[in-house]
Amino acid sequence: MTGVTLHVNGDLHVVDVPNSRTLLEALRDELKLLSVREGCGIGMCGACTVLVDGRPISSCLALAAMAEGHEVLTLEGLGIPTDESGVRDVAHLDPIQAAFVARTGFQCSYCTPGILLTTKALLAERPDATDEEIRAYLAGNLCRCGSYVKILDSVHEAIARLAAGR
Amino acid sequence: MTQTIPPPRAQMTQRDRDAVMKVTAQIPYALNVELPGMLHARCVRSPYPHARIVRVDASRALAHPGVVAALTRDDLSDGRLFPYYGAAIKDQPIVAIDKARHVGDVVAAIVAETPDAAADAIDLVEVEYEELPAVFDAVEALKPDAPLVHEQIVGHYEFAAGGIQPQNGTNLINHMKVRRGDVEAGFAEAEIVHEDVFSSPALHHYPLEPHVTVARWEDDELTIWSSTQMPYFVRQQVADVFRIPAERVRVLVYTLGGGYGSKTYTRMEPLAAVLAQKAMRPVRLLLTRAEGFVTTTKHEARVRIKTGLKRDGTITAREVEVHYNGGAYADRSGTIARSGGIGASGPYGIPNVKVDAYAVYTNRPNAVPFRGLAVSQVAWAYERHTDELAHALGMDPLEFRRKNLLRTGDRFATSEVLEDVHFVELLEDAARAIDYDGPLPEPSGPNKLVGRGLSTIIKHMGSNPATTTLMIRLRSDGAISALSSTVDIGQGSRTVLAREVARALGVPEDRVDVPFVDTRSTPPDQGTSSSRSSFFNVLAAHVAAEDLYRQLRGLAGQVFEVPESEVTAERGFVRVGQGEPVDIAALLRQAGVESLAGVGGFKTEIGVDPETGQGKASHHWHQAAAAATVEVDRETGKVTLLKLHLATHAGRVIDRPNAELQNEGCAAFGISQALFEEMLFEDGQVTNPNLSDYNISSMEDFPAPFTTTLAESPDPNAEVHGLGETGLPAVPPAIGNAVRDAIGAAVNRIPLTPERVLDAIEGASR
Repeated sequence: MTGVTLHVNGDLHVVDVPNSRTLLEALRDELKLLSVREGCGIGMCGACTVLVDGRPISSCLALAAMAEGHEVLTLEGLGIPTDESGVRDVAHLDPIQAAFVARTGFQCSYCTPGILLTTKALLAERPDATDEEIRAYLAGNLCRCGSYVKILDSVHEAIARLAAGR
Repeated sequence: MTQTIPPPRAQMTQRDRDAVMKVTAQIPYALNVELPGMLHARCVRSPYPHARIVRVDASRALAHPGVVAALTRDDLSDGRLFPYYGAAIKDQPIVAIDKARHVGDVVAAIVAETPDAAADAIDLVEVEYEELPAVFDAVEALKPDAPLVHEQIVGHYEFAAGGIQPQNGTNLINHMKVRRGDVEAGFAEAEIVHEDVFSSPALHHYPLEPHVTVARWEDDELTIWSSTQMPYFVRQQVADVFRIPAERVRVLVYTLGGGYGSKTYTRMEPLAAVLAQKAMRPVRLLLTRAEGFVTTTKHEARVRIKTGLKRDGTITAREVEVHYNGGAYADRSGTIARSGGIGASGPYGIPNVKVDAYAVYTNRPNAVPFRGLAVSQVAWAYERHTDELAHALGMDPLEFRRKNLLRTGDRFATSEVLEDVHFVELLEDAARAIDYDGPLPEPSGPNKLVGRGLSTIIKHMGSNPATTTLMIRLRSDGAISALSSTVDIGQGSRTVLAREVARALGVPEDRVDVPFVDTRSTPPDQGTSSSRSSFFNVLAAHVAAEDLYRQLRGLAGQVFEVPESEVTAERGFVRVGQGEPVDIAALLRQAGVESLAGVGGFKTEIGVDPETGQGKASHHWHQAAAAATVEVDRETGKVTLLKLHLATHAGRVIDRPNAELQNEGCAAFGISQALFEEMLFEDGQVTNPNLSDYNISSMEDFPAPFTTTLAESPDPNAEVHGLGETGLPAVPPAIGNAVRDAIGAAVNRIPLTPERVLDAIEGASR
């Protein structure tokens, strides 16, 4: 066992995992960040996407140790934290999350955390992304329920909300 | 338990609560359940498609560090447990007893302190196999000399459902017949007779959340958390395994991370429960991705279809033969043959119809219900065939369909008279959306070919006959709960339930919450499948609301000491005569009653003659049409979808975004099936059991102009039509017909891979 120091959602954690553990396993199994979900285990579906220094990566393909010294963001770090244990309301959401709520950009939502974080990375790079850019950027995030039309609408909604907030 | 369920928050609708939980990842899944002392299970699986099991020895595995228990057939031999389960025929053993029947069949299982220890230990279980001849194809499996997957069925296995007729000494699970009119006379009358053979492959549902079950015994009570679409079915079948009353099994179901049919009936729950009992600790059984591919598949099918025509386009007769490959265990294959067989002649007015649909055992992984239940396979055939007929006649495919499509008052293949029929409108709507009558779009290059295609499909409402119970519970603090065992698998059933219960009671939607399924408190339901939930629950909600108001009127009569007939109850209030309305919760407080529950059920009663398929086959019929424009690269065979429209009859829409998502999801599945998805096998072994080699559609595969129509009835109280799978079967044939139009040659097998399309182009030019 070796300790891996992870900087996740603004907090430092020392996680006691072997070097062979993936970032997905460290985040989900050790830190209990349940937004990080395995969908394929081979980097094809995007469900386990987290942001490392703002860039989306498949956490199933990265070793936990590789994230040392980098800032990791999971969906739990998005939006405004609430003290209570209850469900957040819309006022406590990040504008991207609020946009997905407004446009119902999900069905079962298993893929949603990865899609929200990928969208965050896209809009940081390209605040006025076009349809084509959104499709290309999100092509690695599979939604088996097939909510793609409304995911696209949601990203456009997020662009509008972020622009209005600037 | 790691899985915490946030409490309902006041002033939010169930819809908004769920939406916020979904974008914050607070929505619970069985995958998140962790219990103190929980162990992890892994399965030992057969490497052979068909083999007698000579010896199973888990002693070396048990000696491995961290291993707590092992399960082999020896544990099932003393008769304490009933060792089989299955949706219709209980033919699936908890672990293999005499034979392994497909590559990946469960032969033994290990539980250990960690997933790694369990994974390491499965390699230490020694299994001696004696290989047997195997059969993989449904047509081959019906030949007299085919190896038998099950030596004896009737008289050997218990049946969990009726209505199917397997035959001992064969691999036949069920044979569905439709006999209408006289097909021989119909073909004699025909001026043109055309026959085609179509096929569609085995698929895997691939829900992003894998199959996962956690089982825990406390004294003699069993609790199961599972990612299942059918909590009550699981409860009964697991109770049967332990020979205990169903009340001693409690099944809890949260949201599912997708199901699409793979989580119907009983899957891994019996094994998890037996392992938890053996280990005397809670056990989690989580399947790997590759295991998912050998646990649930869609029925591979071969369809031979022959039609007699008059030169004016009148259809005189149709004969259809369907072979559904059921895999190693029956599951619902018998019903698949029944449902598929009934619709196999398509939504056309045909006086003489003969259908034979067979569900067949083979040494393939289990085939189970899959979104589009049984209809996708036959629709691919009859709608591609429809275009071949139009070509044979020299008629436009739209015109040919218009001439023969069923209208209100026409008789279907079952001879039942159809009501509320919209095929022509749906088809014309779809055709308009892709500008079917306008000029074809210009190809994007010299080697590109452009084409357009249409399709129209009919689908039964699933699970007939069927029942649903819904309970509306009013508490004295004002909270109203809609209690149902319908599972939210992403379709938004909790939104639908809350909204419709609020509508039935006449109260604001944010007053109604929908708890997660718990068989200890939510009432019995047949299961969340076959696009049935909204239809049944909506009807049951109104019965339950009426029951609650009836009880409230009685209570008000007692409290205010007036005859019940003087009390009215509506919109959340009771009122004596013209007096002041009293809030229903205030009435409970005044009466000193903690809570009151109204119960509503709804049941459909229909059926057809098993020898002729004549009768009433569905309470109402689902209807959809699709239209596609494609571009095909003549040199690579690659198909690019330029436009797609899907028009579905919805009856009444309860929540528009969720309804649209169902239709859009059907399109996503349809595109994926038309162009990409196919399980590949070598000697019975799946060779592409991962998302790298098995492709599902992404956002980039959606055509830019993708549109859908939900056709609504003008009647505000119209019946709700299920949308979960209605549109799906229409999509692949529309794309297939567009490819046919583009390349001038037929591809009769999906998916339309570049290789198949190139072969067809080259075949046509030879």
